[in-house]
Amino acid sequence: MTSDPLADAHALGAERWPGVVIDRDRFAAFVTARCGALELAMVRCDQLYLTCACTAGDPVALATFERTFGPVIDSALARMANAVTDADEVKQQVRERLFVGAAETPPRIAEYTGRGDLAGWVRAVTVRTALNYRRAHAREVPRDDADELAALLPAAGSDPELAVLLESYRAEVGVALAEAIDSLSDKHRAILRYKYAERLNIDQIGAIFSVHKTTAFRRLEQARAELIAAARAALKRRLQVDDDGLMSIVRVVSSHLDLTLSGFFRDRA
Amino acid sequence: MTPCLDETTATRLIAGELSTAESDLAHRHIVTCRDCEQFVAALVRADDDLPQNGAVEVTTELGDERGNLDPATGSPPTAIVGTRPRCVPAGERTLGKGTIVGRYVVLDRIGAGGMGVVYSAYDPDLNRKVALKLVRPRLGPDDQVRTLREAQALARLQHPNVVTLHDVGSFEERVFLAMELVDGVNLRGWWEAAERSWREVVSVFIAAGEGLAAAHDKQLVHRDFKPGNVLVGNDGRVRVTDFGLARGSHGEDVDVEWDEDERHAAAPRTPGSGPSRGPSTPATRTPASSRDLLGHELTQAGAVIGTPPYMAPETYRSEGGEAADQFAFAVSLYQALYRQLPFEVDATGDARWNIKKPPAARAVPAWLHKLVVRGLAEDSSQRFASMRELVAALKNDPRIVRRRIAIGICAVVFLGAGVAFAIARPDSQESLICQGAEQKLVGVWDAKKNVALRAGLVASGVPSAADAAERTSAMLDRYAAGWVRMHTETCQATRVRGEQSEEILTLRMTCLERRRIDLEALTNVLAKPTAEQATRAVESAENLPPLSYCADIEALRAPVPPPADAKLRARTDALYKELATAKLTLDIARLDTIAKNVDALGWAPLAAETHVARCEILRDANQRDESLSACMQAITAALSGNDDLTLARAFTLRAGIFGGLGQIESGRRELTYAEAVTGRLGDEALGVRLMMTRAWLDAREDRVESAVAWADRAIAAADKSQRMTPLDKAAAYQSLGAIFGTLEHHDRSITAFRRAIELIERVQGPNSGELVAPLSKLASGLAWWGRLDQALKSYQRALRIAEHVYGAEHATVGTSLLDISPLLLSDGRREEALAAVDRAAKIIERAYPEGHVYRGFIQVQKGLILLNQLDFKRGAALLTEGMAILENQTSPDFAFAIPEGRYALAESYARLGRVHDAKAWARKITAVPDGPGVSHLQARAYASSLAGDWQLDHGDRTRALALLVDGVDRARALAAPSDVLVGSLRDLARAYVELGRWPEALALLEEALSRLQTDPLGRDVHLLRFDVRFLLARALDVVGGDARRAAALAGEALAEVSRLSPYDLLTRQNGIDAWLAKHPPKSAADRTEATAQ
Repeated sequence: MTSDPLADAHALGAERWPGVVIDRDRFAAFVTARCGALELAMVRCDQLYLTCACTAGDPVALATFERTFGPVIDSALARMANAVTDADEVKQQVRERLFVGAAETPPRIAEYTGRGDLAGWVRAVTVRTALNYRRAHAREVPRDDADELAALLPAAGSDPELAVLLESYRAEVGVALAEAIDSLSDKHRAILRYKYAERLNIDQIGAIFSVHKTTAFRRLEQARAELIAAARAALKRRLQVDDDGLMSIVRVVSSHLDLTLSGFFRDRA
Repeated sequence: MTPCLDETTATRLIAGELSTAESDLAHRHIVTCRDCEQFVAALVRADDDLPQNGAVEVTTELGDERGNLDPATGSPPTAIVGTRPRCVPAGERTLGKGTIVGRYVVLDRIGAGGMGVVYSAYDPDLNRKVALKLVRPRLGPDDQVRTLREAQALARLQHPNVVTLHDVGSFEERVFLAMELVDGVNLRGWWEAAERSWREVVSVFIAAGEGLAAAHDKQLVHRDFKPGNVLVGNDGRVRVTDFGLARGSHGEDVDVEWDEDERHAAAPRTPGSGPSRGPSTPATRTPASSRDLLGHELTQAGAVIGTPPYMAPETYRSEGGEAADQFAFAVSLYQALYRQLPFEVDATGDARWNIKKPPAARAVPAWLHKLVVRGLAEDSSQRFASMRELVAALKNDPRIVRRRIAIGICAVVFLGAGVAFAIARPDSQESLICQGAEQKLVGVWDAKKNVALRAGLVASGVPSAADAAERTSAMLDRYAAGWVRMHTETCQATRVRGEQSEEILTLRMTCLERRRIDLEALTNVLAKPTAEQATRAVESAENLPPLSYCADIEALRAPVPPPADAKLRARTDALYKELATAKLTLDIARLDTIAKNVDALGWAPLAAETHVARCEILRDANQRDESLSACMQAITAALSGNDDLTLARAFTLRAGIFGGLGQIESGRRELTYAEAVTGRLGDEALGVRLMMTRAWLDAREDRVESAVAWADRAIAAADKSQRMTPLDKAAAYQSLGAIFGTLEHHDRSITAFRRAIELIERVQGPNSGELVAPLSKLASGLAWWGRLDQALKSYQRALRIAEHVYGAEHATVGTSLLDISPLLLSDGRREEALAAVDRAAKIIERAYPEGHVYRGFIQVQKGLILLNQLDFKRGAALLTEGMAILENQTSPDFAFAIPEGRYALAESYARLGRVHDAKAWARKITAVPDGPGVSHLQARAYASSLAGDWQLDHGDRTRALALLVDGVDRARALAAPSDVLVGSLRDLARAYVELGRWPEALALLEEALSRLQTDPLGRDVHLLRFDVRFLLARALDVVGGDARRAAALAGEALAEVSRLSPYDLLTRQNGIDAWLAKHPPKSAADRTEATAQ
């Protein structure tokens, strides 16, 4: 490395993106605006080189960006397939947000600071745009109440006695569950939400909390156990059934927790 | 309310790049903000690197970058995700751990410099670690070719004083060199570490000079000789490195290919450009000049033709050659002798060629000074004619007693402050006073004993006895020679040179005397060995306590000295002799007797040693409580005897045993003590064992990342260690394999056991008794992995060796049989399984006391077989007895056996009409305690399915359904072994079938079938094949699906019928009958065809 890290970074960028040419001073100003001298070694200068050229509207840079990160956008949108019906429209919006901007919002590409991988950042912009798009185009979801929640409860299967029991206490069960969820710790509620509202798998939850998947699984188990215990206590307070009956209800609720909670969380969103 | 997560934060959160504080903040925001929660969730879903829903992965690769935690802090290191967030040129990006370069696997980056980046890497072909140097890609293609050519020449240069170049190749656009990885310091580090006399300096330089001269013999010029390029290994060997690489070329203008920035740095030292141009001399002025792990300063980027202070005048004129190497050698020697450079080098790198006046404080003989000055001559013709000549002159000092510098205890004792006085004495006087050490080995290890040992080993009739005799004899020769040497030197240090006190002489002689007893005990045992002792001969020889302990004054001085009274002394010596023999013969009864006598005698260090030996043997016999208390006795004795080494061993042993019992807290407590003691001892083997134990405890506590990191560290330390024997390393690999096994990383576990097996085979040959344990462990890993055939083979080899070495009735044979039986059972080979269990039962009942886990396990195993044979009554009786023992086990080894045993009992009692007992056991099925490792979680999934199964047949259907759904849920979430998942899907499907909910059953069965076809199964192979296909056929039939497919599936299923147990058949008979009634086989031919498939 030379004694001038900015010059070094500039050379690095030029090498990484052949054909993309940017003035050295402009690049220096661009980088300096985004990170201090000490941070320079920690950020991805070669990627800042490209975004700098993009903000300058350099056509080679824009084409390079499209070639390199277009697939990232596509793959992120594909992963959101069930959520985003109009991928092309969203992709167009992503491009606009990145490079055109609006009156009060400058092009987002200028916001990339070199911390974290550019591909990851582009993916994040895409996902957020897609979510906003979906939100703007979705119909309003009615807020839940305990009755609606209870409607999500499973049928009692083949046991007629239990069917009667469940039928009679549907509303109470819903309320108890709602209470139980509110009584959870933030941490436990969060993990249950990721699992049931967002339907993430254990690996994905592990990634969010930076823990191994078995650890994530244990946390999830704890959260579930806490929820069941709380729901049971809440039901006991409300219901005048004997222990056996209570147990049956709790058992049905917990065995279908998956289904119940998914519906529940989705509606509470 | 905190602001929403921006894209950068969210990306870095899921990439694990945020600090703990930052990520806490992010999570705290997310719980309050639905938008951000959705955002983060969508982001992980869009992450290609994470497994998606529906794609359940069967294994977790440990190599994944997310899996690495820093063992020191328990937090993810910043470098774990993707490429490092640094300004690194594309061609020079840091290679991540696990990158494959040629055949090497990159481990760590250990340094960087002018030539490129140096990594430590693993060579899987030769199972060793190497240093991997990736040469900077900026050198033009010509230079790459020249580098290659030169490197290849170097590869042919095998010299003890030159770092060995193993391999050269190219990677992407770069050339890489695989070199010997040296554990040690560079020359500068060496002289900075301690005050070095001029004699020591000279002997190191003689070695380095010989390396350089050898290269010159082959017309190889170094071009960048300097102290940073000379390594002094911990083995005492001096090696020259970085040959001919840090170079430009004669006449060719390398810098045409460099861009502006680099020219800036490199120009002043480019050949042909003259010495005074340009501002910087990177190697001397760049403060960031990097040091690699070995401490050697690497030439900075740009300074590709040498390092200015060491460059000869002619080098500036591009005339460098061998004489320039000589000049650099002389500069380095001058620097080592006087601790300063010979020439004034100014800020621009200019040197003035008049030699500075040496500091008066450093006494260097005149002849040596003259020699160095001649090497430093500005005019190369005034220097020595060659390096050879210079080295010869260095050696020529008549007073020098040459000895190899050994960084070790001997060096500390003998080459310390006393050297100057000692060396002047004539050799003859030394040898007269302290002669006769050899005499002491007469009858211990001499020609006669050698003959006796060979005869004894051959007479034992063990396989490859002659080979074992050869190896053992060679090892004992070395040991004996070492003993004689140390005995003589110890004597001389006090009696001749007077540099060692009488007290230390006594301590060391006592220690040596013990080693003599150890040696004698071994040669006695091996003269008339049992088969077992004969097979362990090589191992026993390797395991003789190292002589180096007898030079460790600190360690010797610490314990309470042996009794001074002659009678007591004789008694302790006799007991020590007995102890040495009992340890070799693994004779626990005799050890117990010795322990009593030793305790009565009252010399604590001996008591400590005795109890540690007991502890170890009891542990290996799986008598954990007894072994814990033996270790506790050892600790008490070691404390009162002030014997740190034994103390540390006892604590470490206890930590490991507690780990085995699942008492992690207690294990950690013991480990803390062990570490505290080990810290002040600095013993390598003990250090490795500690790391292993740490990994073991982490593994048992499910701290996967940390466990793996510690295990890797331990292996690296073991690999690097010069003092650990191959068998020590094999033991380390076995522990590693066990740890990975606990973590369900069966692939890595298998690799570790294979490596252990290789190491043992290499030292002891293919029939060693030491192979039994790793072969069995390997087999169990293979079985989990679904490689049933290989597993069975490995078990059978273990069994054969055990029978051969230990005899057909030995406990080891029993445990081997016990291992094999479940595998045979799930393969449908019930008769063989029963025979194996019966044989095992006989052996184990003799070998292990009432209530031992093995006895419990065998009863359960046998009970299961009887149940399968429809003998519910005897089955239940055995199961009840067995479960009484197994129920309290927390070890993952029994995690599956416990719910299975309970289920079998509930089932048996239900069949016998004992409803109350049946229900009681059924209720307990799911009560699997949460233990260490993933096994317990998987066993819990399995238990849910078993309990649901029971409820479906004998109890409440709603309850059954809830349990079965839970079983599937758990199995899916955990990426459980396929047999657990497929089994749980099958069970739930069966329930839906019973309830007439066919479409739901159909979906589950399709999933089960596709898994069955792709994933290997570890258990119940035939039963699952039958069930899934047959149920699917029935479901298709009812739902009106593809009739031909249904018929084909049913045909395939029925082909498995012969492998099913009577019990399995009984429970499926109705279904089979109904099917055959509805779909009568058209003809005998059809039927044969169907069954043949």
